[in-house]
Amino acid sequence: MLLKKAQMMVALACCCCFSIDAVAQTNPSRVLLVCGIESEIPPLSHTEVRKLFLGLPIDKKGQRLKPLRNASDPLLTEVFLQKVIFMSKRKYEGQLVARVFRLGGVRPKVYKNLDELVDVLQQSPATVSYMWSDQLEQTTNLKSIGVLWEGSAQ
Amino acid sequence: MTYKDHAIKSVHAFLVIVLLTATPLSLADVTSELFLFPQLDAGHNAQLDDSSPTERNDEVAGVDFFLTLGVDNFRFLGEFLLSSEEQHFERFQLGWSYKNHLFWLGRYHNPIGYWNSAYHHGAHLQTSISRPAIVEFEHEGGVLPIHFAGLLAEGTFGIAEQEFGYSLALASGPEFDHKLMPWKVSNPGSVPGDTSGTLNLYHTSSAGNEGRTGVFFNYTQIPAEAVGVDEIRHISAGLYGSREFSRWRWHGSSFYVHNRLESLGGTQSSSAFFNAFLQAEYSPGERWTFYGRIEQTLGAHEDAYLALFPEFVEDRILGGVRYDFASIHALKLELSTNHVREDNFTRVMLQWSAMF
Repeated sequence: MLLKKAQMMVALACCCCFSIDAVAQTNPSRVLLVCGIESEIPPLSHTEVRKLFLGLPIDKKGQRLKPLRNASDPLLTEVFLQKVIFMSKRKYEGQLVARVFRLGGVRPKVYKNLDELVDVLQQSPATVSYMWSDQLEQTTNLKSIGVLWEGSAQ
Repeated sequence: MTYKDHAIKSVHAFLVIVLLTATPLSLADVTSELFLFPQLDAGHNAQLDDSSPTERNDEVAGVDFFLTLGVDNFRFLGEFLLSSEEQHFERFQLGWSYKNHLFWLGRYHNPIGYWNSAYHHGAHLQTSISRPAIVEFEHEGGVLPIHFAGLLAEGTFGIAEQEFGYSLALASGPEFDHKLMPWKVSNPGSVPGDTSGTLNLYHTSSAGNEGRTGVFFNYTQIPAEAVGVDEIRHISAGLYGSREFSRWRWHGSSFYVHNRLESLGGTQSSSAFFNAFLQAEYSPGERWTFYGRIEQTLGAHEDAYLALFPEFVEDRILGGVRYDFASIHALKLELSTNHVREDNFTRVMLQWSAMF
C-alpha cells in the first residue's frame, strides 16, 4: 500500500514537471534587440551586440550606434548579462568603467523607466536596446532587429 | 628657435584651431563621465638594512579624479591625482576619433607593454595593490618612461575575422634628475625630454573581451645632465599577454632594455638587462580574488642605467588577497619578498579603495 502511494506521488510529480516544462516550451520568453521603427539599423550579429554593449564602437550605415541599457526588469538584466554578455553584473560594470577610464567616451546609458527608454529609441535613429517580446508588443514605433535569446527564464 | 619651441607653438596653434572651428554647442550635445577613486594605503617594510634608502613605513591617502567629455568626434580626458604625496595631472588628452581609431594630443600613458595601457592611477580597477616594478610610476622610482607628452594614435582593425590593435606614440619623454621626470601640465612651457616613440601591436579577442597578446618597441632619449650624463638612449622591446580562463586570469610581460649613456665628457657606455613578470589571479566567487606575482631581472647589477635607481626592485615574489564589498569598495592585503640592488626586505601592504 505504502509502495503504491509512493509510486503515485512520483508519477504525479513527474506529470507536474512535464506539464510545467511543456508550458515553458510552448510560451518561451524572448529577448529582442530593438530600435525605432524608422531606424535603418540592420540586424546585428551576437558578437556585434556584445561588443556594442561592452562599449566598443560599432558603425552601421554610416552612423555610430548608441546602446541603451534596459533596466526596467531585473530578470531581463540578468538574462541579458548571462546569455548575451556572458559576465556577472559586477564584472560587466567594471569592464565598462575600465574602458572609459582608458579611452574616454561614455558608458551605455541605463533606463529604469521603460516609457522613457521607448521615447529615446523612437526619437534617436542610432540608438538600440533590448527588451522582452511582450514589452515590445505593448509599444508602438519600435521594431525588433533580432532575437538575442529565447527560452524559459524561470 | 629650437624644435622644442616649435613643438610648443604647434600645440598652441592646434588648440586655437580646435576652439575656433568648434561650432556653438548646447550642453545637451556634450557627453561626460566623472569618476572618483579614493584610496588609503599603508605599508611596512621589514628586515631592511640600516643603510637602505627605502622607508620602513609609509601611508598614503588620495583621490584620483577622472573626467571625460565628448562632443561629436572630439574627446577630452583628464585625470588628476590628489594625494598626501603629490598633486598633479596624470593624464590630460585631447582626442579625435575616426571609426575605430583615436588620435590624441597631450600627456598620456606610454603604451609600453600591456599593464601601462590597461591600468592607470585608479587603484580600484587594478586587482593588486602594487604595480610590477618594471612599470612603476616615475615618481615612485620607475625606470621606464611611463608618461609621454605628444601625439598618440590607437585603434583596432580586423583581418579575416581576427581582431588586431595598435598604439603609436610620438612624443617628448622624460628627463632624469635623480628620477625620471615627465612633462607636467602645470608647467606647459617646459618640455624636459627629447624625441621618443613607442609602437605596440597586439591581437585581441574578436568578441570584445579584454585579453590581448602583443609586442612593443620603445625608443626614448633622456637628458640627464643633473647626474653628469649628456643623454641616455634607451631602447626597450618585449612581448606580453593577458588572458582569462574561467575563474583564472593571467598577465605576463617580458622586457629587453638596452641603454647607452653618453657622458658630458664624450665617453659612452652601453648595457642591457632583461625583466619579466607573471601575475595569476583566481576568483572563486564574486567577492574574493587571490593573486600572486613573480618578477625577475637578469643583468641588473651590470647595468649602468639601473645603477641610477637604487630602489628598483629587481626580483619579487608576491601574494595577495582582494575582497570586494558593497559594489564599490575593495580591501586588499599583499605580502612580498623584494630584492633591490643592495638589500632584501619583506613588505606588507594594506589598501582600501573605492569607486564613485
